[in-house]
Amino acid sequence: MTKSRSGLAAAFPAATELHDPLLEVVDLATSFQTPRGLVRAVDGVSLTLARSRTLGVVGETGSGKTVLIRSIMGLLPRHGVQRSGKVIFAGRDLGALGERDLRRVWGTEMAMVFQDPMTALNPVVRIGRQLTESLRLRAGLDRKAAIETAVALLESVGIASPRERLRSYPHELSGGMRQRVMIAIALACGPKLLLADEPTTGLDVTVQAQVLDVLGTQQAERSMAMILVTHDLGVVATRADSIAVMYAGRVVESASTAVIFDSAKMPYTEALMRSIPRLDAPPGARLAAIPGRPPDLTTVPTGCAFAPRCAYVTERCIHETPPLTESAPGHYHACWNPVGSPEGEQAFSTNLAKGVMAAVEIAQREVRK
Amino acid sequence: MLSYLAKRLVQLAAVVFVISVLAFLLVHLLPGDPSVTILGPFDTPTARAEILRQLGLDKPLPQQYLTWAGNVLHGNLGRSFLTKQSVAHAIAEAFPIDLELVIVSQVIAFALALPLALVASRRPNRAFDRLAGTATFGLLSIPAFILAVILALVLAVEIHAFPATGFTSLTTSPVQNLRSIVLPSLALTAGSIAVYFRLLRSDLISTLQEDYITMARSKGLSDRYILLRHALRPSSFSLLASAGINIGSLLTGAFVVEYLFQLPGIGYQIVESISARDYLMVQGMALVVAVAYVVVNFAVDFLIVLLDPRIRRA
Repeated sequence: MTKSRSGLAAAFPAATELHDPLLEVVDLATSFQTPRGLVRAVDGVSLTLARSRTLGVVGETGSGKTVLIRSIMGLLPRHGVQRSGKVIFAGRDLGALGERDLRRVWGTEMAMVFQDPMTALNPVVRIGRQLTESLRLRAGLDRKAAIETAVALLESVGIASPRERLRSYPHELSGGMRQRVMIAIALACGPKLLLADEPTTGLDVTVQAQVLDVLGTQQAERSMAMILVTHDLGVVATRADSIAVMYAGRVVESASTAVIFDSAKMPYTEALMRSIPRLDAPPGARLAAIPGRPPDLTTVPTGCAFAPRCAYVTERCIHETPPLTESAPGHYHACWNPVGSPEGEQAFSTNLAKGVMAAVEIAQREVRK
Repeated sequence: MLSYLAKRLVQLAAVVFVISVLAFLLVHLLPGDPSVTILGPFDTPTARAEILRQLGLDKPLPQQYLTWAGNVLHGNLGRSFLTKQSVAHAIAEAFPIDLELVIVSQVIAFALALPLALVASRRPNRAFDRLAGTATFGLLSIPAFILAVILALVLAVEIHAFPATGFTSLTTSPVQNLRSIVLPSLALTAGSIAVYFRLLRSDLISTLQEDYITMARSKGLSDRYILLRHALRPSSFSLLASAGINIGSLLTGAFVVEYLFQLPGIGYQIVESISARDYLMVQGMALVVAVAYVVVNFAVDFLIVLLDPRIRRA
């Protein structure tokens, strides 16, 4: 914000800002000091997000999605954490700020919706105070104005008789209502960026859709950017402009949503997609589960982290880490044998012919050595 | 909320009834009956029967209980056989001393333990936390009677800041009263400080790991605000529960300290009465102490319900 600008840009700051990305993350890495060693939860992630756009971050449990968005915000435990890389938000590098300065950005410019509204709302504090405290302390409203704003917020996220609800405690609300309250709290001070961490995971399917619709409507009305984290590609399919697929703390593929669904290059993305139930699948068709589990992030293996579970694996994947490369404009992937490429087809048919997971065989050979 | 309170009140009444039966039986279960004490060397079977008849002790137990309970409800706890003093009167003299002792010692304990725990929990296992932990553990391991002697030696005998023994009532001189109560209160408070500090500190540390604290941080609220407005309340339940039990046991457990400082409190009087086999005195005081214990814990439960809305549904 303090950068010197040309006279024209200074006269029309909004016009130039529209072309700058709102958020630019460069080589962000976060590790935790644990008794078992250093856990590299986020390992060199770069991404950009334009104003009022939605980025879907997809990956399995333990792939580093939550840590990624908390690292973007800087909302990490105070001790035993190492964070590096740049987080340029509206022209400022948040990576260089301490918590005291970050606090000015939190809530008012970027806000977070947490995964589990039961544990993320204070059980012994009324909804009203949880909602009005940031309005009063951060936005500087007086008591009356804060209450009126809170009522309007609750109404806008679809809560019936909002004025009475202000006096409720979290345990008196249903799961869907709690998540709506949480969204209202996050929206309270009008953030430019909303970080939603699996906002629908704990909810019934019908409620999930409602909550996602509330998020979508609010986002459009406020022209707010959003990072929507989920383990479910189905959730982001219609709601995200672009998607970043994470595995073992890295982005392994990213592109616009249409490209991801049409021509995913990364075998992991393909596997995730095949695990979504489809209406047009024949009755009784099995869902393709991904064999194995994500790697332990304390021991970073050489090569591609997905190799042990991959149907396209070759010798090279075990020994060399594939870099994130741009295969088409705006489409990045990190794979030696991408889906749909000649290398990929060959690797897949070779592995299929062997009848066993090639990775298992290669690993056994490694052990025998 | 109201139905919860009503339920608790019924429970309270039941507990008080059981206590009264036990207090009543207490004396009958002890070896040696009061006639022995009263008659002393003039003990003859006819004199003894006459005494028992006069005291109503020849009637069946349930009838005796009803008579006694009826009197108790009218504030009549009987008269000591030895001193001919009214038991109710003796209690009215002794009990305020304990009350004052407990209140002053608990105010000191909370005033020290609360800020210590709040500061220590922000940086667990760092210098301040370790120092406070060691210091309070030291206090916990010193028995009250040793601490009392040390306090009396240093603050009363050496620098004459407080009287070493004796009690001045609040009505005689409020200042002297406070001075006479400070040393015994300090001796009693040591253990409470340590327990309260430890309970609140560990609950605060675990509360500060909760999602809703991270959520509060994400709103950009200050550390102090989060600590006081979001973390303290949900961390205070085990502290309050233990304070209830602690206060109850201090009412009688203050005996040693009362003895050392020559304060004629309830604990002191009970022990005197037991050794003199002054059975109505023991009975009345035991009853009052037990009821006080129950009432304190009821008050604490009520406070916890006020602080934790989740319990109200139960």
